[in-house]
Amino acid sequence: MSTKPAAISAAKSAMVLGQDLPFWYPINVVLTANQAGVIGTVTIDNDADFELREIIASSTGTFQVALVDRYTSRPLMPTNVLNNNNVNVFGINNVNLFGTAQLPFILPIPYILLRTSTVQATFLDTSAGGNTIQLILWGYKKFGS
Amino acid sequence: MPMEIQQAMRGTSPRAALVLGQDLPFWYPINAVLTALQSGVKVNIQVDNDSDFEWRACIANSTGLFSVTLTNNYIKRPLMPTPVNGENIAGTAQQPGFLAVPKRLARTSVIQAEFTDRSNAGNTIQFCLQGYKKYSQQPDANFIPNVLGYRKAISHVYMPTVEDLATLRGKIPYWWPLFDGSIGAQQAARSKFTAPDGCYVTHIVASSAQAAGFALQVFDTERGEIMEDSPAVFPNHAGSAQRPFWLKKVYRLPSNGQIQCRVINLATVANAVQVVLCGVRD
Repeated sequence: MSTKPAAISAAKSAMVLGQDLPFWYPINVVLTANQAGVIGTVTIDNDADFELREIIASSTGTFQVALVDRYTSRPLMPTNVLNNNNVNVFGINNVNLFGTAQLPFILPIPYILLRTSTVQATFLDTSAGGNTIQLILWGYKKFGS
Repeated sequence: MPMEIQQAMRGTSPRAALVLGQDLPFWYPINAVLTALQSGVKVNIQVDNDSDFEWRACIANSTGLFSVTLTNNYIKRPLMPTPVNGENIAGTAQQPGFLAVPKRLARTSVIQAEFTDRSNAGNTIQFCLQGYKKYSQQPDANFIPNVLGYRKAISHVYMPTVEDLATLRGKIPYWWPLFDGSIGAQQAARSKFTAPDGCYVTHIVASSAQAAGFALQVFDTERGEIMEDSPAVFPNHAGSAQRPFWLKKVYRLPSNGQIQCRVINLATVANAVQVVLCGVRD
């Protein structure tokens, strides 16, 4: 029986190794009822920049969150917002910020996080019960850059 | 920052500069707490001074039904002539209420939201303007018309072309309530409005307080044309902010005529109906 060597070229191999890798960066926290100020962080791996394209979350209750890109120290939402009763608003409601894997919140313009960047999320439980939360930053590791 | 990030920036400094200068996804929340049927509650949000804001979508959640009137105080222009129901203007993060064409708001602009409760109970509302902080003063080289590509894939509907939408760049997002009122059981009602030159409709949304819904006919007096052979039930005629009924071709509103409509309540009880034409204007 004659066997034919697999036709894997160096170029193909390089393409596979260098192509963008779909990647999920999770932030997990567990809150007690009405707990505020709990911080969760995730650091982008050192092997590649990360092209953030979708944000997704699941939780056992409602919550608010404030996100900050620690590399630039820029929050992704204002921090000094008052409601009509002049009460300070902690952050964005989960349903206004995160989708699901079925219907993710998609960024029409991808956002690049450099390798070793940290994204910080500060949480407030609004469910008045225990709350187990997982946020996902979904996108691609960019090995080409 | 164009849609696809340049791949050639291998050095650390260019990459860092790119990241520092790129468009920042951003949510401006407008929060209000209303008592039952409270109306005229005004809340402002100011665009930060560090950059313009490219507004792309309305996203909201609340503990009850509400309506809202938005005003851009920077140019002293309301974005709707009368209040629009929350479900007709804002979606959720899963299915945002997209503006057909993103609108760039100048830094320090104030957007005012005036809320009215429709739930007849206490109502806690968060209404978010979602989009991007634009750190570059230069206009975008490429027009990025929201995420219509993926919306098309999800909803299997026709969308206006990118080229059509690009011609509407810079115009003001606008919502025209074509009909807004309560109709008696199985009765019909009429409404109309006029629009100046330079008004364009991109999608249609509607809401009905009763599950039986309503049927609708629309008449353009300038063209002298009725848009339906016979009244069309509203799920066949209009969507919601989350999933609007998109017009394949942008429709210019008559500047020398009216848009008139006839609404027939199909429910056996009174029905609160709102039909909204969404688009942009000069």
